[in-house]
Amino acid sequence: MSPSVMNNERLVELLVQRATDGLNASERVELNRLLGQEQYSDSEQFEQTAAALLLAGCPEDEPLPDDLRERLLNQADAFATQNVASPVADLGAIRAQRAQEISAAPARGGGSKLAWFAVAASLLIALAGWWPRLMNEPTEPQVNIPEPTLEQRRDQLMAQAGSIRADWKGTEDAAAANVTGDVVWDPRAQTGYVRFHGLAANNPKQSQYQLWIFDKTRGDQYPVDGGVFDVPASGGDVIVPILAKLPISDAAMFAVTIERPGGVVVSDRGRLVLVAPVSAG
Amino acid sequence: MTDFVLTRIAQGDSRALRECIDQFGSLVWSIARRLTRTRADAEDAVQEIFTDLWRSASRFDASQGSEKVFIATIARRRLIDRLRRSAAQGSTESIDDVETLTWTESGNKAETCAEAQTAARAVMQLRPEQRQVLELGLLQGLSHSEIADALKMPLGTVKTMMRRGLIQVRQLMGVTSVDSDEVAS
Repeated sequence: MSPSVMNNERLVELLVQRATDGLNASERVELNRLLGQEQYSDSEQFEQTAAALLLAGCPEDEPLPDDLRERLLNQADAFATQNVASPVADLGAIRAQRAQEISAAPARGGGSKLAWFAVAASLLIALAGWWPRLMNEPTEPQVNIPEPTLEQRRDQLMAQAGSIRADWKGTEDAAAANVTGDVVWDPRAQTGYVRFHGLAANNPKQSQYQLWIFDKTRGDQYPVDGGVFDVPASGGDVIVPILAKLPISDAAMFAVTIERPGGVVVSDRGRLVLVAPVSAG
Repeated sequence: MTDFVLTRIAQGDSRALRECIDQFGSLVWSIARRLTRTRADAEDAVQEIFTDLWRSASRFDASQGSEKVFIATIARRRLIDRLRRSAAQGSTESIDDVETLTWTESGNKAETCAEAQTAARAVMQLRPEQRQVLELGLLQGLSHSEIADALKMPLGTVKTMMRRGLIQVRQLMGVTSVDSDEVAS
């Protein structure tokens, strides 16, 4: 049975503070440390109660303004393009799987059947995940144009005039040992990709990587959230699309921190893993 | 197929992103208007909240609560952070007029979700001064320090009342029949 936060007075104090007034950087660190000591099942109870009370007292009486709705719909389309279709490409794993399939093909009959069975099973699993969508799509003639991979999209973006590229530099954090890679960012399209090789795998239930973009016009104190991502244990290159939450006027530096699952709004930078300063000019 | 739009977003249904806006846009906008200083600030906040929602969709668990409460939780987290950041920057923006709200036994609207109605009933069982602290913090968006100033109370007392109030509401929401004297003590 999971322990309850109610048995730890300081934890309750911090959780109520988070739910009602927000936490400062040191309180955030302390809360993360306390939450990391046990697998609590009720750590969000105060935020949920506060939300229920807000719903009880806040009438839903104002319709969403039309211009804001339009902006949100555009935002949804951009989000779908960058996230829903292909959240993270583990190119190393894909290459390894392809190589394995190719080398397995001329092997013994039993092994070949097993390989085909594995491929068929993975196709069925993929189909099951998307079946609800397929069932609701209007039936139109299908034109089989393969979607560009993240690697191809990154290459295309890098070829665009005006796009910028910056190399990752590791900090002393253990997760950054032997990391190489870069950032490609197109200021006009407000889109880009980060690429890593050698970044330590994370357990998404315990922590996630979070990307930050330092904008010269906003100051160093409040970098813009560029999205959370995971690194699988299979190794190889990992490419992740950048999802800047706010418009970036003048990118000065990109950085990666390790945060709690889901990411944070303001990082205490307790685990700053990588930085990629953008060269002037 | 699941009826939960957040579950469908987590499953990769891109159309659910738009449905989420149409289904919960008014809710998020109403909350943002309540907990931001200006209309422009609310518009920025709503855009940030929806990105948070789409990213967090996989964490929604229908067995733990309704979509509305999950969405209000995410929205509040973002808005509290913005309020804190705005206070740290010493914002002097004028505050748009917003009406003062309070709780009623039935919640403020017929369509209010069951958890909100239960919460409304629970909070009405608290002592009036304790309810007032929760009201100023949760409905008016005042910080603990602002509540202490407004009610001429020590900050520690505000924090204690807030903590006890939330714990009691939680208990009342989970218990069908609670002696109100016990709660008030």
